[in-house]
Amino acid sequence: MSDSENLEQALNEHDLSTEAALADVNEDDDEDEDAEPITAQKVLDILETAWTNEMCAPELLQHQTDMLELMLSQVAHMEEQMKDLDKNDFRFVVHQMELERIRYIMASYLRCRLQKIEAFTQHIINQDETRDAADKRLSSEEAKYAQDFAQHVDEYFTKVATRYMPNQQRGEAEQRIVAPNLMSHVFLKANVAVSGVIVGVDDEEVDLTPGSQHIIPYQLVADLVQKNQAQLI
Amino acid sequence: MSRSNQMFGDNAFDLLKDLKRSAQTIPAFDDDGVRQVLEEIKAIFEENVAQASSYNNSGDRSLWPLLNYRHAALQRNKRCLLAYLYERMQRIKAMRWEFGPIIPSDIKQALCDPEVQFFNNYSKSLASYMRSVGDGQGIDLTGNLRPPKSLYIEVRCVENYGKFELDDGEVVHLKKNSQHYLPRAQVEPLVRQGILQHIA
Amino acid sequence: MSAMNYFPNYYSIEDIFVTQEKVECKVNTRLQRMGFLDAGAETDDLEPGRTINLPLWYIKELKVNNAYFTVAVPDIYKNVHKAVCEAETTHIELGRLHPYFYEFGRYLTPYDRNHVIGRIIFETLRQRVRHLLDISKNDTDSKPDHRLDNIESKLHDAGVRTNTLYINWLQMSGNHLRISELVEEHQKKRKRAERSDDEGAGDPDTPSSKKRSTM
Repeated sequence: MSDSENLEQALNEHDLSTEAALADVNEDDDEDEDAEPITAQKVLDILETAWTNEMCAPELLQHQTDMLELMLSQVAHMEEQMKDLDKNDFRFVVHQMELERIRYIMASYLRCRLQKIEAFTQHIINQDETRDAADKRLSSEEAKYAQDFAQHVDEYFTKVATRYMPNQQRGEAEQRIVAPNLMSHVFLKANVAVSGVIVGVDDEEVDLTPGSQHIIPYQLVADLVQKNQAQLI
Repeated sequence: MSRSNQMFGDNAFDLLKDLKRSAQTIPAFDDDGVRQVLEEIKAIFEENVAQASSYNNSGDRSLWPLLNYRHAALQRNKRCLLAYLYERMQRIKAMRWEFGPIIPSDIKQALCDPEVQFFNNYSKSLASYMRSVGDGQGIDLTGNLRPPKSLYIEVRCVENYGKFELDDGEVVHLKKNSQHYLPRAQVEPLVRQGILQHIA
Repeated sequence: MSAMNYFPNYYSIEDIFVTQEKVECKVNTRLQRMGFLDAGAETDDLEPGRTINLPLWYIKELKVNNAYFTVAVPDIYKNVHKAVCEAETTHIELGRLHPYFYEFGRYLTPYDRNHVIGRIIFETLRQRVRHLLDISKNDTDSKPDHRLDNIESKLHDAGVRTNTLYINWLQMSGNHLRISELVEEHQKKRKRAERSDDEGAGDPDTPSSKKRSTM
C-alpha cells in the first residue's frame, strides 16, 4: 500500500529512529520473548488487518492492546519530531497526512469494538469470564467500560421499570441477553493454504488456496481468522 | 382496563408504535403509558397468584388455560416495555456521539430523570475510556469519523462563533458567512455541530 | 456491518411488531372465563366451535398441537402458491398482502399441515431478490412501498445506500465532513419553533438565546 510505504520512507528519511523508539517500549514489556524489534510498518499492518477483521466480523475479536500502545507512542513520537519541521515543507504535509490516516484507523477500530461491546455487553462479559487471561477478547480498559455500561443500563431499567415488576423468573435474564449472529455471511480471503475447511451443514469440505476469496458463514471460519490463516474483507 | 375490545398488552405495544413512528431525535418519555403498562403487569400478576393458589388447593385444572394466557400476556407486557426503554437508550447514546457531553436543553426535557442520569453516566464512562486507551495516552473516538483525504478543508461559517484557537496558537475569528481554510482534524467537531459548513 | 443483519433479539422492535399480528384460530374446547377474547361471546367462557383472532405472541407460547385452539393458516400464502410455481412473483404487491410476509410466514410454518409455507416463502424471496437488486440500482427516491414487505424494503434501502456510496466513491465526493444528523434535525426543529415564536414578534434576525454544547 503506497500510503504505508510513504510512512516507512518518511520515517527513514528523517531518521526518526523508529526502531529505537519501539525498542524502548518493548523493554518495559516483560512478556517479550524474542527481543526481535518490530517495525512501525509491521505494527501498522497488524492493526489494519485487525481493523478490517473487526469491521467485518459479527462478534468481538481479540483485543490488540500491545499493537495499539506501540502505535500510539509512535504517533506521539512522530508528532514530537515534526515540531521542528517547516509547516509548508512537503514532507510535513506527507507526515501529517499519514498521522491522520493512522489516527482514523485506530479510532474507527476502537469505535467498532465499542459498538459491539455495547450491543452484546452481557454476552461478551460472560464469554470472557470463561477465558484464560491471555485469550480474553476485551482489553482491561474495555472490560471496565463493559462493566460500567452494563451497570448503567441496569440502573436505568431498574429505576424506570424492573423494580416495579413482579417475579423475575428463572431464565428471564438469559432470555434478554443479546448475542451476535455468528452464522451471518462474511467475505473471506485465505492468507495461507488451508485444507479441509467444513463449509456446509452436511460437512462438505473445501481446501482454500492462498489468496482465494470466499463467501461463507462466519462461524465456520472464525478459527481461521483468529489464527490469521485467513482474513475478512 | 376495558376487557371487551382491548387485548392485554396493547398499551405496551402502543408505546413502541409511538416511538417507532417518531423520527425525531427522541420523543418525550411517556410517563402515563409506562405507568399503565406497569399497572397492567401488576394486575395480571395478582390475579394469577390468587387463582394459582386456589388451583393448588383444589387441583381444578379448568382455569389452567386462563392462567397460561395471562402469563404470556405478562411476559409480553414486560418485553414491550423493556424494548421501549432499550430503544430510547439507543437514541440517548447516539446523542452523546452527536451532540457531545451536554444535551441541548429542549431535548433534555424529553427525558425522564433516570434517562438523564444514564446519559451522564454513559458520557462519563465513554470519556474515561477514551482517556485510558493506549496506557493512558488517550484517543478521541468522537472525532476522526471519516478517512482523511486532505489536511485542510474550505469551510464557511454558518453562525457567529467568535475566536477559535488552533493547536499551533493561531487564532481565527469565526464570523457568520466568513470563509476559512483550516486544518480538517481540528475543525471537524465544529462542522459536526453545525457551526461550520464544509464547502467543496 | 453486522448491524444490518436481521437477527431479532429480545428487544427487537420489529420482531415485536411481527408477533403482534393476529392469527385466526378455532376454539376446540370450552375455556373457562376466557370469553373476553371473543367479541361475540355471550357467556364468560370461550365456547368450542367459535373462531377468534389471537395475537401471535400468545399462540407461539402454546404447543403446536395444543388442545385449546387450531390455528388457521391465512390464505395469503396459498394465494401466492400459483405465482411461485409459475415463477411470476416479482409483480406481487407483497407489502399489501402482508407487511411482514416472510417473518409472519416463518412463525406459521409449524401450523401448516401441508408443509408448503416454508417452501413458498423461500421460493418467493429467491425469485424476487434479483428484481430487488435491479430496482435498488435504478432509483434512489422512488420506492415501490406497497410492493415490498418489511424485510424486502430493508434490503432495498441497503441496496440503495450501497449504490450511493459506490457512486460517491467513483466521483470521490463521499468524503465531505457533514453536520451530525441529530444536530441538523435538532436545528431544523428549533428553527421551526423559533419561526412560530417570532410570528408577530418582529425581527427574525434576533440572535436567539442558543445554548450550545461544545466538546
